[in-house]
Parts: sequence; C-alpha cells; structure tokens
Amino acid sequence: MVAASIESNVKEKGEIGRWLFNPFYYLAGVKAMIIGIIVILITALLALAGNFSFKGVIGFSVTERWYSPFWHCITDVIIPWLLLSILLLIAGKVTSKSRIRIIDVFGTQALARFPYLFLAFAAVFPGVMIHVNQFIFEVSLNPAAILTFSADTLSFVFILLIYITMTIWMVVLMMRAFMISCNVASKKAKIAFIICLLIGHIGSVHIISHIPIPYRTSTTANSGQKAKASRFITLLSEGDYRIAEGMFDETMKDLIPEEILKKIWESNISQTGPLKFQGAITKEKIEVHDQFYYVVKIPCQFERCALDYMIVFNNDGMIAGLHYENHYKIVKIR
Amino acid sequence: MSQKKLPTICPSCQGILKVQRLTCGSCDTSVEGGFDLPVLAQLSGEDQEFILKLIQASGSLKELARIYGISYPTVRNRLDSLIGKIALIKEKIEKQED
Repeated sequence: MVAASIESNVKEKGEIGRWLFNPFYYLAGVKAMIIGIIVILITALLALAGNFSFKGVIGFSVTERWYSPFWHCITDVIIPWLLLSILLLIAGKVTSKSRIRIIDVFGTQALARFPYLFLAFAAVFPGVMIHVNQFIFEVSLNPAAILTFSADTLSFVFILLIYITMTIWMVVLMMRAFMISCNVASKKAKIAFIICLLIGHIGSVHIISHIPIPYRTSTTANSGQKAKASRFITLLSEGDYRIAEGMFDETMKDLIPEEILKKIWESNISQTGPLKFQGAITKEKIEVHDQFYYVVKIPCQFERCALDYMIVFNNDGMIAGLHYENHYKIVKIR
Repeated sequence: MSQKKLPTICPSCQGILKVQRLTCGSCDTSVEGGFDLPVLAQLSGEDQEFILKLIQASGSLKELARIYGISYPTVRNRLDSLIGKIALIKEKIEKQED
C-alpha cells in the first residue's frame, strides 16, 4: 500500500513536471491555439499598461514606450509568434518524415509563450518599471552606481532574473513544441530550431520597426499632445526617424523629410551627446492668424548640455512646428 | 495474478523466438511444430494495447487522443514510432530467414 502510494505520488509529480515543461504532450491543435492567443493578447495589454515592450521573439525592453495607436502593442507580440511558427513549419517539413498539421505548429508555439505572461505581470507591478528606468539612467551616468544597494538596483535585478528565467523556460517550451508538433528529435532538428529562433527574432524586430503607424485625426486630436511630444523625442533618440516623420503635418513633411530630420538630430547629438532624460513637460495654447496651436515644451538633458524642445501641434494633433533652444538646468522627472 | 508477458527475443542470442508447441487448455491436446510468432505478438504489451484501441476507435487518431487524454501530435508520433518498430521486426524476420 505504501509502495502504491509512493508510485502514485511519483506519477503525479511526473505529470506536473510534464505540464510545466512539455504541456504539448497533452495539449495541441485548436485548444493550444486559443489558450496561446489569449496569453499573447493579455501579455500585449500588460505591456501597454506598463509602458514596456517585447522586442522580437525573446527580447524585452524596459525603456518607456507609448503605443499609438494602442493596437501596435499587439503587433509587437503577434508578429514574432507568426514568423517563428512559419519558419518552424518549413524546418519541420524539411527535417521530419511525419505528416505535420499547421494548427499544431502554430498552436503549440502560441502556448509556448506563456512564461512571458509571468514576466509581464512582474513588470507591470506598481513602481517596478519606474525604479528600473531610474537604475538604468543612474548607471548610464555613473557605472559605479551598479553597486549601490537601493530600491532601483533591487528592481532591476528582480526584473533581470525574471526575464532570464522566463526566457530560458520559454525557449525550452518552444523547442519541445517544435519537436512534438513536427515529430523531430535529431541533432539536425535542434540546430534547425536554433537557426529559426535567431532568424525569427531578428526578422520580427526588423518587420515591426517598419510598420507604418498612422496617427488619429479626430475630435480627440487635441488631447495627449504632451505624450505625443515625449514620444516624438523618444523616437528621435531611438533612431526611428520614419515613424517620427509620420507625426508631422504635410507642410512639415515637405520641409523636413525623414533624411533631413535624421541629419538634424544626428548633427545635434554629435555636439550635445546622447539624450539622457526628459524633464517636466509644459503645454500652452496660442493663437496665430486666427488659428489655434498647442506648443509643448520638453526640457531635454543630453550628455553635455540641456536643450528645450518646442513642438507645435495643429488642431489635427499633428506636428506643425519644431524649435529648440538652450536650457540652464533641468530637474529630472523620469 | 498478473498476466505473463510473452517472450519474443531469445535471451541467449537475441534471435526471434518461434512457437514449438501449442496446448489446448480444455482437453490437453498438444500440437508441435515450428510456428512463427505473428508480427503483432512481437510488440510490447503497451504497443499491442495501443493498436487495439486504434482499431476500436475506427482508426481515428483524434478519438484515440481523447481516449488516452493526450494531444493529437503525441498520438501521431507514437503511431509513427510503432510503424518504425514493425518495419524493424519485419526486417529482422527476413534476415533470420535468409
């Protein structure tokens, strides 16, 4: 009776282990696809709420990200899943002798992404991302700050550990999903998986960076200019000139197309050094020739100096003007 | 009493065992000769059980997955593995006959 109880205990633990590290033994096809897509969408919404992002298949970015429109947060997670699934399907057709169902490949790959749900929950916890961004900023100014014991350091270490653990878990699940859905186990198949993972990651980052992002022009266009202005500066600092140009009205696009915008910004950076942080943003409404405009002023602290960027928005919420001037001292807000 | 497992491989030389004598349980009549074990009998108990369940499920892998409580690709992979085992057994029989 004791032996039977031990055997049943071992069997139960084995099943739990299998559910955690190889749920595809029990779950594939449409069921896995539905659960996986729900997980992916919740992860995307948490990223939207927490102002962080997922980059490619296994990337995670803690720098603040403003999604506009909101559905862009979904493309950040859906495209890597789709691209990797397509690549693994092709790899499976090449390396496997079995018949492969497309729904099994896509469904199991979607389900394999569930560890990143835990990462998203950890990152969206109140205050965590603020401390993480603060830590990164402090270390960028003073690398010795990495040894400081503070809430910022703890938050960064916490997120880093969660990210590493969840990424390893997710990659193991993705490989098991590939092996079960395509019935492969050879060394050649494992190498094919690693190649697909790398191509999928790099490819999806590349595709997402080229998605055009239309900005809304509606009765709500006059709200959110501060966030838009901040996003504009962030886009320039990240080198996303094409998307930044997308925020201009037609006149500005003619005057300052993408190439010129890039030259202006890079020329500034060569003198000021890279952008460190943005200060407190202010907004005022002005009237010019019977037309109303919103002037948003963003103090920007660069490595070697501070500049105030004045970004002018028209009534359609598009950038109609851009100007910058020197600033004496900026109080860091975020 | 647990069911005995039918040995199929010779413990001495790993050759395939043949049936030499069959006995009737009712009247004690014995039949002796050299009878080859059918391919299916040379599979493990678990594999034979799998094949029986597959037939009872009218060959539907989906139905079999539901019966076992596992996923469709897991069942399909097991079937592919079984196909490979049967091919190996047949190859071994042919080699032995040669």
